Formats: sequence, C-alpha cells, structure tokens
Amino acid sequence: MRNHTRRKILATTGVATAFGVAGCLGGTNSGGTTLETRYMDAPGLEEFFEEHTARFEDETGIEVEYEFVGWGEAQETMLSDIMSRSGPDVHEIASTWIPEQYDANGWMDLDSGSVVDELPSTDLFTDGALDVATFQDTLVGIPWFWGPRAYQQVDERIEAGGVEGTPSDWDGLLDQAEAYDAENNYFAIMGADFEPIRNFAMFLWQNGGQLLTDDDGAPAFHDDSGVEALEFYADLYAEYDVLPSETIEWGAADIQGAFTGGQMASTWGALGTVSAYEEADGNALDDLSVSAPPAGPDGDQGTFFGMELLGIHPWTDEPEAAAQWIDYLLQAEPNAAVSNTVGFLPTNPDGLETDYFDNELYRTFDEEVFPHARTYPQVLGWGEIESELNSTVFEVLQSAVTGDLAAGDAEAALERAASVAEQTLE
Amino acid sequence: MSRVTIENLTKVYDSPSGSIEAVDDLTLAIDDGEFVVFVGPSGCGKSTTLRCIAGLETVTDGTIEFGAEDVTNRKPKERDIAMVFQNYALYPHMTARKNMAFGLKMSTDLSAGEIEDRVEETAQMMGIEELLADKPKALSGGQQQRVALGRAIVRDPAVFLMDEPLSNLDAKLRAQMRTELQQLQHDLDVTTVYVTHDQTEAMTMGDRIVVLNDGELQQVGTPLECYHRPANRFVAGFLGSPPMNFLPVEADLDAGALSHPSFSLSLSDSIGADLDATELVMGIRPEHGSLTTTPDEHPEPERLVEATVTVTEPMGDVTNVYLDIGGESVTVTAGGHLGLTDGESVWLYVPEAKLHLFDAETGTAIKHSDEPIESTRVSEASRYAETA
Amino acid sequence: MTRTSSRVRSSVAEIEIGRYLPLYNRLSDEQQYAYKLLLPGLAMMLLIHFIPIVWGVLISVLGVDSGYVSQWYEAPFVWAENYRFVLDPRTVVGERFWYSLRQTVIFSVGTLLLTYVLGLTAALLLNQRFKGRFAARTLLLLPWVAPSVVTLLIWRMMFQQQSGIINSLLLSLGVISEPIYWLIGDNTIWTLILVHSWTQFPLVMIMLYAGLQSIPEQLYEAASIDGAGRWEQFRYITFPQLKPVSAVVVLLMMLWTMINFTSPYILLGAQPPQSGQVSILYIYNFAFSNYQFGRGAAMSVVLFAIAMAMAMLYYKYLFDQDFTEGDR
Repeated sequence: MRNHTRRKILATTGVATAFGVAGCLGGTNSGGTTLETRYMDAPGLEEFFEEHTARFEDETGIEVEYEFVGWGEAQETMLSDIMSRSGPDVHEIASTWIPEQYDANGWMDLDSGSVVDELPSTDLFTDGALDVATFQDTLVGIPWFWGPRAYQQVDERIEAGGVEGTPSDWDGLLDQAEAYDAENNYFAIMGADFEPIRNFAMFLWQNGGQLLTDDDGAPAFHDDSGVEALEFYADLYAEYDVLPSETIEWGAADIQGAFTGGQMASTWGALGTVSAYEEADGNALDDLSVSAPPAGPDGDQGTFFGMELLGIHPWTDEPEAAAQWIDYLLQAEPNAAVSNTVGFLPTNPDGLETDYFDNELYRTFDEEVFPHARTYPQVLGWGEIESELNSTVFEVLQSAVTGDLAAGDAEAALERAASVAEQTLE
Repeated sequence: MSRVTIENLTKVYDSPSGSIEAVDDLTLAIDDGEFVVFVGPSGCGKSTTLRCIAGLETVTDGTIEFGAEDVTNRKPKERDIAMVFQNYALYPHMTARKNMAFGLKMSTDLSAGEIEDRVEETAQMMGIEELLADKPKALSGGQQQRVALGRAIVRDPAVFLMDEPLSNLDAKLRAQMRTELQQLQHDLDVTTVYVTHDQTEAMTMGDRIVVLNDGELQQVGTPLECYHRPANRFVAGFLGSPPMNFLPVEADLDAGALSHPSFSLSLSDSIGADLDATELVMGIRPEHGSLTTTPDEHPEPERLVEATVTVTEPMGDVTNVYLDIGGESVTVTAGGHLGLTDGESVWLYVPEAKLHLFDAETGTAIKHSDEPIESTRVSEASRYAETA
Repeated sequence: MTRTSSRVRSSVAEIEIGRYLPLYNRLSDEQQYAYKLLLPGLAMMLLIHFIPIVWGVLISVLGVDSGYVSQWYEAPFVWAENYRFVLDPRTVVGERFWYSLRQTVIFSVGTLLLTYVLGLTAALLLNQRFKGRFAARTLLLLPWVAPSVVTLLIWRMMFQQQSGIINSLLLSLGVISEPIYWLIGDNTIWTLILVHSWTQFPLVMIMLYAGLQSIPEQLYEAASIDGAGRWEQFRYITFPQLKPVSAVVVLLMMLWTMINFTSPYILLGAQPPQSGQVSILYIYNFAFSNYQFGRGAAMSVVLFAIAMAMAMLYYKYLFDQDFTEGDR
C-alpha cells in the first residue's frame, strides 16, 4: 500500500519536472521567435530599448527581451555564460575582452553561414572599426558605437584663468597650466584611479611610442618614449603640479562631476563627458571647445578611442533573428539614438547626419580628434598585460604623489611590466 | 585576630520596585577568637551582614570596626580577612596549590618559597597534600571544600568569614566537617563569623549564635541561652527540631489560669503577677511534654490536657507523637519504645516550670522554662546532632 | 505525536544504504542510524564545500586558460607547472604572489590584534553596570550588522586624502600637519586593517562578552578578598577564564581575515595599490583579468593550504594545552 503511494508520488513528480524542464527549454519557441539580449548598463538605455524592441517586433514579428549588466560584473557574468554555454543570444561586446572571449569560443563568426546575409555589410564601417572587430581573421562583432577621448575645455573658465586657446603640445600644456590662475583652479585633470593605463597609452602615443610591437609579438611600451611618457604623466603630479596630488584618488565620476559642476576648467574625456556637461544646469554645448590632445616631443596628438560591438553567442538557436536585430540596431536612426544616449559616436556614418549629432562639436570629434585615435592591440593575453600595466602606472603615480618616486623608478617599473608582457605573449 | 564591632549597621538595596532593607540597625560585638554563628531563614540578612563585614557590600549606614580600626569603607583586601563561600569559589583554572597560594601572592611580600612552605604546611594540616597538583574540576565536593578552607586558613587572617560553607555537602560529610571545623577554629583561635540557615550547625558550632529575621537582630547568646531562654517567639520557634509547640491562650488573672477553648491550666501567682497582657501564646518544647493514658493515676491530674494521637513517628531513640488538641497540632517527643495507636486518646502533661509564654501581639518572651543553660555544650548539644 | 515520530524514525531506519555501500553494513545499528540522520547535512557540505575544493585542486593541475574555459576537462594536465609558475619568486607574478601572501599575514595578524583589543575593551565596558547599557550594546553591534558594502564605501569616502573627514579631523586636531594618503601607497594595508577590524570587532566583542558573563561573580569576590586589585582580577581571573572563547575567536578571526574578500575589494576599488593586494584580491584580479584559471586555482590552493596548516597547528597547540576553565 505504502509502496504504491510512494511510486505514484514519484511518478507524478517526475512528470511534473519533465514538463517544467521542457517548459523552460522550449517555452520561448511557442508562439513566435524570442531573442534574449544583454547590454552594459547606462542611463537612458532602458527607454531606448523599450521603444526600439517594440518597433522591431512590429516590423519583423520577433520579440526581443533585453537586460543590462553593470561594468563591474560584466566580465564575470559573461564568463559564466561562456562556461555554461547558455545565456543571451545577442550581447554587447567590450572590445578589450575580445581575444580571451573569442578564444574561449564565446562568439560566433559573423562572416559565415546564415547570419552574414542578415547583418549590415562590412562596407558600412571604417577600417579602424573593422580592425577592432576582427580577431584572428574572424569577424567577432559588429561595431556599434565608438568614440575618442579629446581635450575638452570650458572657454570662459580658461579665459578667466588668464589663458587662451588649447595647448597643442606638452610644453604648451605646461605653460598654460603655470599661467592658469583662477579660483576654481583645477586644470587639465584626467585622474588616475580608473584605468590609468588609458592615460599612459595616450602619452605614449603622443610621444611616438606604442604599446606592443607592430606584430603584437612583444612589448614596446618600455622603450625610451614609454619611460618618458610615464615620467611626464608622473611629473604632472609631482613636478609641474598640473594635476593636484589629491586628484589621484578621483574616480571617473569625480572628475566628470568637477568638470560639469564648474570646479574644473579643462579635462580629457570622451563624448560622455560632453553629454554630462550639457545636462548639468546652466551649461550649454557651445561653452565647450574640444580638440585633439597636445602632442609630445616625438609624436602626434595621439588619443584613445573605445568601441563597443554587438555579437552573437554561438549557442543561440536563432542566429538569423539575432542578425536581424543587430542589423536593425545599426540603422542610422537607432544607431545614432543609442550612441547619443551613451555618449559615443555612431559607427554607421549616416548616423552622424541625424539630428542627434547636428552640432559643430560632434563634427570636431569625428573629423579632428578621431584621426589621432588608437585603441589597444587585439591580442590574446592583452588582459593580463593591461592589468599589469594598470598596476604599474598606478604604482608609479602613487609614488610620485607620496614623494617616493626616485629617478629610474618609472623605467624599472615598465621593465617589470614588460617582462610580464613578454611571458604572456610567448 | 581581632574583635569585630558592628554598630547600627544598615544596608538598603535599591531595586526598581523600591528599596529593600536587608539589614536594619544591627549592633553586635564579636570577641577576639570567638566563633559566632549567624542563623536565620533565607532573606533574614545574615549573608548581607557577612558581606558587609567582608567589604563586598557598601554599607548604607553604621560602622564596622576590626579591633580599634574603622574598616567600614575599606576594600576587602585592606581588611585582613579570609572567606569561604558556599560553592567554594575556587579558581577553576588554577591548581589547588595555586588556589591556596593566590591570596598570599596578592596580599603579602612573601617569597615564592615562603608561600610554598605555608601552602604545604596548611595542606598537611587539612590532609590535602596529595590534591595540590589537581585542578578543582578533578576534586570531589568534599575535597574542594577542604581546599577552599585551606585557602582561607593559609592566609592566617584576622577574621574568618564563612558563608554556608557546608550546605553543598551530603549529610554525612556535613556532620563530619562540622566537628572538624570546630576543632580547627578552636586550634587556630581566629575570630570566625559563620553564616548558616541550618539550626543544627548553629547550635553545635557557635560559641554564640546570632539569630536574625527580616534584617533585624532577634537574639544573641550561647546556643543554650537561645534555646531555653528565647527572647521571642521567633527564636523559640526557629531553634529546635521538632520545633516548639505554640498554643494561643488567654490569661485569666482572676482565676489564676491560662485558658484555651479545649483546656485550662492553673498558673502560679508569682507568674501571674508578671503578666501585663492577657492575649498570650503558650510554648512547649516537644521534649518537655509527657504523655499518660491513665490520667487518674497522675500526681497532678488537674494539669493534664486531653488529646488525640494523630501520627506517631518512632525514631528509635525517641518517638515523635503528633497530637490533636482542639483542632491544633502539638508534637511531643516520648520514649523510643512507646506504643500508641493512631486515634487513641492520651493526656499531655506539661510542668509549669517548663512552659514558655509569649506576648501574642509582640511575640516577646514573658516566661521561660527553667532548664539550666550552663551545662557543657557538647554533651547537651549532641542530642540534637542526630536529628539534623 | 509519538506515533508520528516513531514512524519517521522507522522510515529513516528503513533506508537501505548498505546496498550501495558495503562497508556501511559493518557499523552498528546506532551508528547507521546516526549516519542516516547526518546524510542531508553531509550532502549539503559536499555540495557547497567539498566539491568546489576538489574542483579547485583539480583545476590547479590543469592548464585552464581562456581556450579551455568552456571545456576545462579537456585542458592539458600540467602536473605542478602552475604551482611552479606562481611560486617562482623570480617572475613578476610569483614575486607579486609572495608579496600578497606577506600582506595577507600582516592583514590577518593586524586585524586579529586590533579586533581582539577593541572587542575585549568593548566587552569589558559592556560588562559594567551603567545606564543605557542595552543601547550601547546595540550601537556597538552596528558595524558588524550594517551591510558591509555600504559601510566600506563610506569608509572609502572618509579616508580620501583631500576631501575625507579623517584627514580634516586629524589636521584640525593637530595630529598631522599635512593630509595623509590612506588608500594609496604603503599605508594602504594599515587602513585596510583598521577598517576591516572596525567591521569585525563587534563579533569578537559579543563572543567575549558572552564569555565574561559566564564567569561567576564569586570568583571576583574571592579574588578581591584574596587581595587582588582590578588589574590582578583581570590578569588572574578574567583573562584565563576567557581563554577557551578567546581560542575560538583567535582562530576564526585569523582564518576569516585571510580569506576575506569584501573588505579589500570594496575599500580599495578597481585599482588596488600593491600594499593592499592581499592574496585573495590578487588571485581574483589575476585570474579574472586574463582567464588564467589554472594558475589562479594554484594560488588559491596555496592560500587554502596555508590557512589549513595554520588552523591545524593551532588546534594541535590548543589541545596540547590543558584548559579546564571553560565549559568544555
């Protein structure tokens, strides 16, 4: 009697579980096609996707679900997706993580199979953008939006400090910094707490150096130009007092806040800084002037650009629908809208012609700053080199601020980082 | 060694529900080398008084002097006392040796060697040499008791304070320790204040006993004084086992008799003259009553009171007979071979000389029994030890 | 009631484990029953402790990097190569790892000392009779009860060199003559100890407080009569009486601090200074920034082994000691 009952319970439970599992797995298929997608969190994206997923569903009948992940958790979240081979169909790609994630079989080849026909043509994008999107001859993602970092200043404040124009080279920067004298005496701040390697890379390029050798086979950041660049960066704190020492603890938000809030006359930032400035009370876009950063002794006005892409995870059941969604997002209007929301430039050139970017300032970004912009090399192991360089640069800056930096320290630190890089690239 | 003088000692505890007077205006002198037992029911103030003498409680009012020195506001360590606690309060993490040495280490300048010698000496006296290396947990209750005593003795203090030190021991060990403690105190000749709720200990051990109730002093005296000349009804009822019988009576001075609804007893004129109240309580010690079943043959038949036997308790040496007199219970200790059946009628005889009379309202003693109180303590008290 | 419980009892007893585990049949009935009752707990432990540990050890001998993230089981077996790499002080990674281990020891010992001193002081204060004792106890518990991410971020703000309240306070008190960098450079480890101790001392306090409350009042009375003053009473009664609970506190604080991730991670942010890179943080940053999970696992196993070795040594030392004073 009891055994019978138990068996019946077990059978019922088993059936119920089977249905439940089936429901989880196949639930999305019943009815129409549903895509799962995920993006890095940013203010305003919620509204953007609410509007555009509805519009896309009207056009295609494909339902798109969307969710967001913070930058802090993104790498781990994506890693666990890749390990378990489950998760969204379409995901935003951060360009620096491409090599490792591609190596871990995290991204579908977008130049193949059924997806290539649905995706926007690669002719749409500039070579620079495609370089980032292509890793080991594979198109890993579709460039979505990008933007260079520019030297930005509020002209009125700069003039109030007794300075005119934007510095065109390092000496000009130092001269202006020395001459600058105003109550809100922060000038040309870039911070060090958040990814200091980006600032170092900019100084390095401005000084004619590069991060890795041309074939990405060995480190190059530790040559003379690199040492000089790092010492210049450190000296901005320690020697010239261009960067007040306390700002070493400032994060990206602190710097942006100081700039938009009026305590700072100039800064180095991407379009996000421009948007934040514009949104603050009493500010107008026309207050700002932007330019490429000052050039170093041996180089150009090199600056850094960041790019975000859209990719398809290989475990998707709906590659065509996923490709269609990406294609939709890359149309001029949505592309411009999302770029404007997150503070970047659209990768679709037609996007620049929309109302969103109808301002001289954006054209300057696109035409005068972008040509000087570079980004990190796409090579397996870059993650380790990047984090090593971040620590190295930050350590050197800390020593500079606390007064512990001796001659030769910067060089030694870069040598050490280079040895890690060499080992990694082997 | 020292004389302890307590004057107008008052201790009031403040509690959320009001203040509680634990000791009320107590005045007492304890002679040098004397063994004084504080006895009384729970909450009578005996422990509080002891703790005031120890300095563990701050005194609300009054003074305490050791010898000529006023120690009222001194810390315990400045009083040269040693104390034995009810549950011994041995330091659990120290060996018996260290427990005993601790006080000397803290309060004297003796060298480690000298301390060691004194501990050994005391341990030998207490017969606990082989326990010295053990921690309290490894010792039996009796052994712990000895170590606790040793810890007090080794200090060679001016005053010993003992707070119910035997109450955690089993009956047999307790009886044994009682004698031993008395012997020790006698040998050491140190002023000792001993607190107990056990009247047997009070009767057997003290040079004098101090009876306390409700924070007030009832009587101070030798055990026999307190037993045979109780100052009031409380002392009379507290000391003795089985306890004294109390019967409410009215003094009819004209008739020269004590009258109770069930009986009437004639009263000598000499006693009647002392009475200033008519509402009295008559007290009879169980051992002072005698029983007869043949009243007609009794020499004083007019002093017999008729009673019914309710229960008999043969103890071997004596038999406790419980009687019913007009609805009230009276106990009499009779001979060990007495045979009475429950419900049987008997006659109780109480000699006038052995009667106690108390004022019904105040409880103050008006008349005592004429038992001598000068006899030697040990022979007299040993009778009670057995019934503890 | 009784019937239900005896029915449960007999149905537990009926479960036939012996069919699958022959050794099990050799146990007595009572032991078999005990094991059955322990089974759910053991299964839980297995799931959330043992499996990850074993998995971690396994990964540490495999060459798991980004190429094998989704198929770690296909990664090549590399023997002790990962260990050799992370423990080799001549490489930068090895050097950093050794340095992080050193910082971890400083972090643990420093936190232990500080939490113990703070916790004991607070517990002794709470053990006094005074008005508002209950409120004080609640207040003192706050640092431990409050969500640590929030409090750590507030500490981070307070320790800012320029805008932080700590520096401005110390400056106005004249303790320092110019602002100190708390979260940058070599001071960081001390700041970390300070902040982490602040979040942890209430636990020590409450454990020691419980210990204090279990010390019989009569021991103090006996000691005061024996001539011990306040300090001697602490030295000879309180401290030895707290020994058993202290032993537990020391072990827990030591181990928990060694593997604490939240405090350094939140307090030091995205770009932790070298001095604040305790092992667990370094392992995390190292393994996740470049998908070096084999080597990261090797580092974790080293940290785990050190922690276990310390715990075992400590236990051995403890049990060799004879302390009968506790409630053991």
